[in-house]
Amino acid sequence: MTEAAGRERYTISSIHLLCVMYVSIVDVSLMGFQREVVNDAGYDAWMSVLLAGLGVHLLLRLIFGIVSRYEPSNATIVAINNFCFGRAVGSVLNAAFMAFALLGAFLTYRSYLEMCKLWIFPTMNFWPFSLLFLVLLYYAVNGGLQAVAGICFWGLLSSLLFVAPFSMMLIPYLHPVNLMPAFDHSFAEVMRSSKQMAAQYIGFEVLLVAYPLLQHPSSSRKWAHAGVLLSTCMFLWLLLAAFMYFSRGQILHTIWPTLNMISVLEIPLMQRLEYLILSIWLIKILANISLGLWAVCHSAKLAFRAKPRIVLVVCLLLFAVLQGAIKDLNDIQPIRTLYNQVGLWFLYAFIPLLFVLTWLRRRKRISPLKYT
Amino acid sequence: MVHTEANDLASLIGLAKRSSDFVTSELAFSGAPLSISYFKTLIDNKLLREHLLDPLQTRAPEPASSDLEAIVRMLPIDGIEITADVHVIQTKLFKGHVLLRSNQRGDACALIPLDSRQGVRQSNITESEFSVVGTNVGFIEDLETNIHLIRSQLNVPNLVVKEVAIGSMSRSRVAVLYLDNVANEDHVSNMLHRLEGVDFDVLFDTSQLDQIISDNSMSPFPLFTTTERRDRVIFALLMGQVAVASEGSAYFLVGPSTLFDFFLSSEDYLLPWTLASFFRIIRVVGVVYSVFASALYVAITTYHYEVVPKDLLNPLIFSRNNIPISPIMEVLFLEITVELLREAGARLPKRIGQTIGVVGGIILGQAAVEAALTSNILIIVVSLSALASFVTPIYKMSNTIRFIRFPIILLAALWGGPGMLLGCGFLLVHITRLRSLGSPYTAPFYPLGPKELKDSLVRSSYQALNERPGYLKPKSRLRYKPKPVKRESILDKE
Repeated sequence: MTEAAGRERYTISSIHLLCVMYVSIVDVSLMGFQREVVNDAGYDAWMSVLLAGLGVHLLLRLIFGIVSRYEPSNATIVAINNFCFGRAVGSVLNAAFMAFALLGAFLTYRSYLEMCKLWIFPTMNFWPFSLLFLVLLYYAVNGGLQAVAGICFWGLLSSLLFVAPFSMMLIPYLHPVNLMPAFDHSFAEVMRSSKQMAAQYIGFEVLLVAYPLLQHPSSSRKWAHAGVLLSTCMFLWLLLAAFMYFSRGQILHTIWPTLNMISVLEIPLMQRLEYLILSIWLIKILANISLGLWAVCHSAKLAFRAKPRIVLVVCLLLFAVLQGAIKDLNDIQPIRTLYNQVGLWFLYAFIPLLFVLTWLRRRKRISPLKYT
Repeated sequence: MVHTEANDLASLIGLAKRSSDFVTSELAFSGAPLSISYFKTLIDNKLLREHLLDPLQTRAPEPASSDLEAIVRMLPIDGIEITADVHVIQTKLFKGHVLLRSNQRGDACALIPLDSRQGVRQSNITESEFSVVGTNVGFIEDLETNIHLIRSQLNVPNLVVKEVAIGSMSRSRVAVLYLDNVANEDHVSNMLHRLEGVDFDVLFDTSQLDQIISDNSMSPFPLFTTTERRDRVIFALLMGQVAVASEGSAYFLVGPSTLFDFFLSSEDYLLPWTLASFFRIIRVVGVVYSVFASALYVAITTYHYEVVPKDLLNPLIFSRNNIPISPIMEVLFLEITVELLREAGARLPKRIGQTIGVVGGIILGQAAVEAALTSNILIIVVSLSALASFVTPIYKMSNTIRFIRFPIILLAALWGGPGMLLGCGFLLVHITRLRSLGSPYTAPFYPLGPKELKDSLVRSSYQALNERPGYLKPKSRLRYKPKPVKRESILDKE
């Protein structure tokens, strides 16, 4: 087999970066982010969605600016950390990054289980189901980035085929006048709400791990931006729909406004569509968790020469143990707050720092990664 | 090795002589004694007389032509090999060659191919892949005829046929066919490499090769298309796929295949593209329905009564309220009945098969409802999904579809909707990870090829199909120059 064909077995084409970006950004929070952003900016929060989206586009530019200064085959956060901070500090930072990505995957996993439990099976023991889910996660991540990106593709497809059209059916139930009066909040309030919103976007930093495995790294920018744009559109639409559907008082007391909205819909032979949506959402969630786990395993391989398969098994066992420690939504919330805080620091402080450091030490080559 | 290899010619003849159909006869020919040996069951008597005995007897023998080369030159047949290699002799003797020996010259023998074509059917109308529109030219159990069928439509020197012998006992000839200006070399060498590595005793059918050389032998999905239709194989060759045929099998193996290849029918290319696209979508929808319908019934009746609108809830409750068993038992009972009907129908002669269909399908179904073992609605769901599972043009895929429903039904019984989607997740991860001859199985969806989508879920017009699919990595993308489209409005011209 030629070298090109050998490399092709592990890489993904840049068009799939769209799916990867969308899936990494849109996770369980799509069902309930409306409540979090409405606290500060009220019904002007649509501005914060746009602002946060804009911020992510800028960050993407920064990320591409960082990675394009390294050898394409070695432009991962692991190598960049080691390069910018030296081996010792770099290793600590890499371990921190892995822990952060693992925490993100775990939060998504646990939140989805909690959602299924509360909404569909309030009295059921979820242990057997979650174990089979973990097996599925193993099977997906074990296929490498190609398999994970494939699941991302199916996840995006399921969103576009089900979530988007069903939410369009809400249009007759909406009251656009809810949005009035617009521009009613101060800049500071909108910014605080934007900070809440920016946290919903955490996850796209997986690009920093996947970048060398893109078939054409240079032509992938537009797809990454398209993915972010698509997620911004999705967030914006569901936010506006929720604002026009619920009154402000109601939305503050609704945990998952998206699910509540969809539950009024009816199609021939079926009502309570949120059962369908929540079930189909599993594919999307599977993609999101797999992506996080893959990032952890791949970084572990690059940073500590660990065997990714063993890291994966350890991560999944950790999931199985930790999921029992969390009893309900109230236990998830503080962890999520912490995760969001760390994530925002990582995205809006650490990545610009990396950019500056790379810029200072530019044009120094690091040895390329071998595809073996 | 389970069979015996003779070490020298004498022991080979000794081994063969134990069988009553082995014939050795001495011929007096220009003074030099010749002997011929053959299995009379393997060779054609008419050919033996015409090509060997008559020339030897009628032609005036040249003086001093007792050596084999001179005799062989006299014979009106080609493909004769003169060798002293006992392994070659053994192989060819059992493939229908006649052994011609001159008693003066040691172990050297002439091997004259006179194998008979008995036991090969004459009709080559397709039997399991039928189409209403277009020809139904299929293959038969003879390799030469099959390759002739291909070559007669691809009249170019680019059609390359390479042979491999597979099977330690059957030594079946397996032919690999490809267009050398189209097919990717990696695929060809990969296929040849895999076939050469096969160790097996008797090759009954090409379908066996499918499993032996497949990329993932644990998968229920067929990774290579097997077809008995000539147009399908030729179309595959044109697209840049590699075809494999084997001796004694009426089926060709085509790879690398994608999941979607199993949903294509050759009729799609004969009907107008709008109709063809419609039928393709119907097929895909049918298969998706078939996989999930029974599971959805189980999930809804076991856990999610809320999702049924109240107009439908009444008939559902009405049809289920007398039934003493749980939905999962009810579904399994009916599904297994359908499987039994299918299995019995497939093994029985045609006429009895139809009777079984009537008895099983109509009487049993009716009786099951009247005895309150199953609900009316379920009968509709199950029989419709049985019907829908057979819409794929390749039968192997129908079997896979029928099989993968059961785990999903069980998961639906365990955890309702999320359980079903968990099964669906396993299915999606599985097909995403599958590869056929090293190329992705889910192309052109994943990896997404926007250009290839023109001939996937829909079949676009021939103006748009002038390029070969990129996921097959053909050497040249262009198939033909499309006719330029003239879009002129009558309104403008008036």
